[in-house]
Amino acid sequence: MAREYDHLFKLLIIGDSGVGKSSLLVRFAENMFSGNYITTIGVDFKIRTMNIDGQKVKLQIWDTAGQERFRTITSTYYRGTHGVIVVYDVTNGDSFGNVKRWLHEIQQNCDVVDRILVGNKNDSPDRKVVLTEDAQRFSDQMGIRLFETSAKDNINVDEMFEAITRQVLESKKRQKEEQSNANNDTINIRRQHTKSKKKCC
Amino acid sequence: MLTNASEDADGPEGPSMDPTTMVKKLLLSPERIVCCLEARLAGPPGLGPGARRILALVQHADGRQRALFVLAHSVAGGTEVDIETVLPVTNDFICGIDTNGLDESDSHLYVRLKSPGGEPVTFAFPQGDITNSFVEQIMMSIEAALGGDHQFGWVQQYRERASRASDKEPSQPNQQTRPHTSHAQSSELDAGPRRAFSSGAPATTRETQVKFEMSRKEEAYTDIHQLSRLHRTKPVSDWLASTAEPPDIYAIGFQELDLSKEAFLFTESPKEDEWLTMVLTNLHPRASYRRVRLVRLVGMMLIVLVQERHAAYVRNVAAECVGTGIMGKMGNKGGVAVRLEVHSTSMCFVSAHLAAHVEEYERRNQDYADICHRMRFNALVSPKAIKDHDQVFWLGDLNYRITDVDVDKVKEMIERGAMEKVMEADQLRLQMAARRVFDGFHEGTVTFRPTYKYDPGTDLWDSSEKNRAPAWCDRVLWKGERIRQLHYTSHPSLRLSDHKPVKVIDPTKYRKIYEDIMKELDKYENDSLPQVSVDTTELIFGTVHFFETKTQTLTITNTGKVAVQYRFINKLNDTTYCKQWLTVDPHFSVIMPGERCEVSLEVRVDDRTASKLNTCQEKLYDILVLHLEKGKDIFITVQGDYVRSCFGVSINALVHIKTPFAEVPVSRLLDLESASPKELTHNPYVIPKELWFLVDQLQKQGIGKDLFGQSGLPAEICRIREALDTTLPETLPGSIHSVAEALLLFLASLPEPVIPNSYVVQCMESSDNFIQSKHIVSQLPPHHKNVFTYICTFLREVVDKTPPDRGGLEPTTLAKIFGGVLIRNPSAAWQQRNNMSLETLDRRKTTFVYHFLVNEIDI
Repeated sequence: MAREYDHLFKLLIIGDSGVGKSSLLVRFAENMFSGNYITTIGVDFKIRTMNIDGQKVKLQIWDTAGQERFRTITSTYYRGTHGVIVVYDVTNGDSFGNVKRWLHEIQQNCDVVDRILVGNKNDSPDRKVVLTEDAQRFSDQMGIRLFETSAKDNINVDEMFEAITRQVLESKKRQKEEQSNANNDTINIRRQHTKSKKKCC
Repeated sequence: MLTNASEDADGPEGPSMDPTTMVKKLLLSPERIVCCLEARLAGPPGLGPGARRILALVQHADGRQRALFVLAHSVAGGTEVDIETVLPVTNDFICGIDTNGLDESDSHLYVRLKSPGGEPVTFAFPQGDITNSFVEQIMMSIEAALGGDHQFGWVQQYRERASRASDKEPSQPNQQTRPHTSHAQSSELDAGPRRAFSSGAPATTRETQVKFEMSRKEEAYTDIHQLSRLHRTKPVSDWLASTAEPPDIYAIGFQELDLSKEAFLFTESPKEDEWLTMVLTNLHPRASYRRVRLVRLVGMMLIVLVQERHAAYVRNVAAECVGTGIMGKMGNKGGVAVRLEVHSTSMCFVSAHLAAHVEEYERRNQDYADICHRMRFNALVSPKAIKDHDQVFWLGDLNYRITDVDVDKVKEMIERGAMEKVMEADQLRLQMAARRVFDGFHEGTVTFRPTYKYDPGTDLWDSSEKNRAPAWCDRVLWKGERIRQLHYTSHPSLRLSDHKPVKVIDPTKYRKIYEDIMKELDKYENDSLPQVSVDTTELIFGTVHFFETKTQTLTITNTGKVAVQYRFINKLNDTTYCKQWLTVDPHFSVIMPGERCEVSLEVRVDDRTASKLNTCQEKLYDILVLHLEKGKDIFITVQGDYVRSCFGVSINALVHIKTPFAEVPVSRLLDLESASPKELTHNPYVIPKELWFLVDQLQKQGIGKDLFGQSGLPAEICRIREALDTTLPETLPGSIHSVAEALLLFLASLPEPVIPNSYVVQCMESSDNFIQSKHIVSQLPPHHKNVFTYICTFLREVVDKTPPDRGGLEPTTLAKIFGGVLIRNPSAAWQQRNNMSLETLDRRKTTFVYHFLVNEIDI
């Protein structure tokens, strides 16, 4: 019997209020976009199943309220997260400036987690104030991948989610390998143990 | 268990009689039973199948129209059946697997049937081959059916019989045993999907649905549309034999053809034989052919045939596959290849299916490179790669598109026949020119219309919202020195391909459909998440005074499809879900879909919370987390402006305040409340003036009036508080009982009780001893001592003037009341350490105060 999924990952979307976190999620999960801005007052999630190299990955993606006043509450939702998507608005320099704070927030609340930086609203060049080069330089410094997306025009959204999912998959794989390496000794001991037992019998 | 019970309800199994025979008796001669089986009406989700029915798919005399007959046993277990209803199978008839409320223990396959205009009916079928073929027959009938507006005249007579049969029944069995018709009828049914997805339904549920949905959509991407298109544009026979001379070699590539019902649901048998037969029967009639090789990788297939007369010269045949698709096992992208040698020429035919999506041309280039790199004919003595051949032919759905030209302009140019003009924007041509793919390959002049993308089964361009630009996805390219001549002169099959390249005319992409189905299921799952709307997320209470109750309502409406259980949950490290000054009712509840719940939020600042609000250590501000079970959280902000009051201000601060409290600036209050105030008055009051106003009024008007025997009215207490805060009142408003309660409230609200907390332990330990108790009081800070003796003196007066025999309270009762407000409990740790219950503490506090009510206070 096939399983419903091979992996279940929790992703978290954070970033300043109004950068388009919910829009990214709705675009990704439901392929819809609404120009009406409804600020998220709380924490919502949607699921989407992806097929990555033949593996069914079920994503539970949490969208958080970006408003400052909810900051302390939303920090409790970082627990158990596999990947964090930090979003800024390419037309809003402050939101980019605050990325550092959000990264700090991740550091405070997560042990090990995959991260990705997303410059959303990348659909009207005349309004763009956060230059790709600057964002790229910053993300390189931080060692995070950068994606510039537009939830409105559906640019790079799937790619970005796929990228973070692949990152998480990779980390999981690595972790497993490390674990099995670490377990090698144990297995050997056990094997010896069974052998000696057999002799006894 | 449940299944058994419902079987019993329908009586024991009758004598075994073939349902077909029973149904046959009811049919008129020209109608034919296609297939027939027993099923059960689906009961409410989770309760297993219900009453028995016979379903028969009946074909009309015309050989085309079919209808589904639902028949019921006239007598339970009998051999007679009555027609219950007849559903014409039109092309908008719906047949789908129903996983609502699927139960792990339930082995039935639930199938939902709906004829246009009718209500959906769900039947439970036993799982097995008979059911599978029955469902398949229905699917095929739907596919073959004509439009819904076609008359099903012949069905009418059966329907009339059906209604007569039900009229006969006085008990209206149709009503009772009617198949459950709607999924939104009751909350119980609505709980189905939630159960299926949110609370650990069998993992197979979704898998089954994927498979079945895939099989349902099969017609959209495989033979049926393609064939129907072929029929319309060109008979199949023409397609492979359109040239005068029979070709020497045929290389026929297929993409996306594995996706049959059989492969995905029932028998797992590939359809390649059918395709092979189709090819073989349509080859050029003037020559006979031998099959060289057929190679297949899931959706891709390549058949190579040579004329019989060349067969003897064909050597070293090999075939290989390379999958590149990201779907792995669902395998649908990549290439299959056949290589052979004719005389001394080596040839390689590659049928490929490259990555889809307009913008993915780089992936297509990569797919091409991967296929070239990985395709190795290892079966040969000396393994060969594609490039190691004299002649290489690529055919297939290469998926390159037309970009950077307006869709409408493209269409317009195509209509004018300006194909080469459009080709200038063709990704493949551009990428080839940049030598990034198919380097050194050639392609004939394109004169045919783009092969992509049409509305399924039509000649109309894609009219979906994506409004895709037409494109030549399906191409044939070749490479090799001598190929021009060979190709144009002696391999007419390729010329044929140039006319109309190997022909996935409507390549609705499998992968896309798979993803669509996943998306649909995800959507279903997302829709099944609890959803509510709240009328507001911010409740602003405005000004709030001490002891004043303000209430607002939060309306939570269940806007989702499942019942919602909401609960206000603790946030962060809080031990409660809201601040002490707030009451939420109900703080958890269940709301059914479409219904709503009104939650009352009540703000009231009382003795527990006043002092911190006075000194701004706290604000009337809280964020509540409204949590939906298995769903999202909504943050509800509650805020108000607290108006500071003398209630909740310390004795030591109040004795320095001589104006009405409301006139004191915050800064002054904060200073007075600080550990070492900077601005103290030289002659502070002996006791707080507010206390004096209260007690004075009680002394003047309350003695002899059952003081402290009755409770006050909240509204009056508010007015008393107002008077104390804003004026220096001659008399206080409200009844004497309200004043009495205000006094108690005043004492209870003190940040530091009259007997300061640091003295409490002593009090508890020496409460039995009046001397020691007096000693403790004498040690109190001066103003606290003043207040204590002032209160006790007043209480002694009350006791003296209204002894119990004249209607007054027992001194013990008074002592108990005041013990509770003058002394507060020691720390929980102390209580535990000394193993002291609250009752014991209460008794000791009472005893402590009691001494001072019955003895002379000579401190």
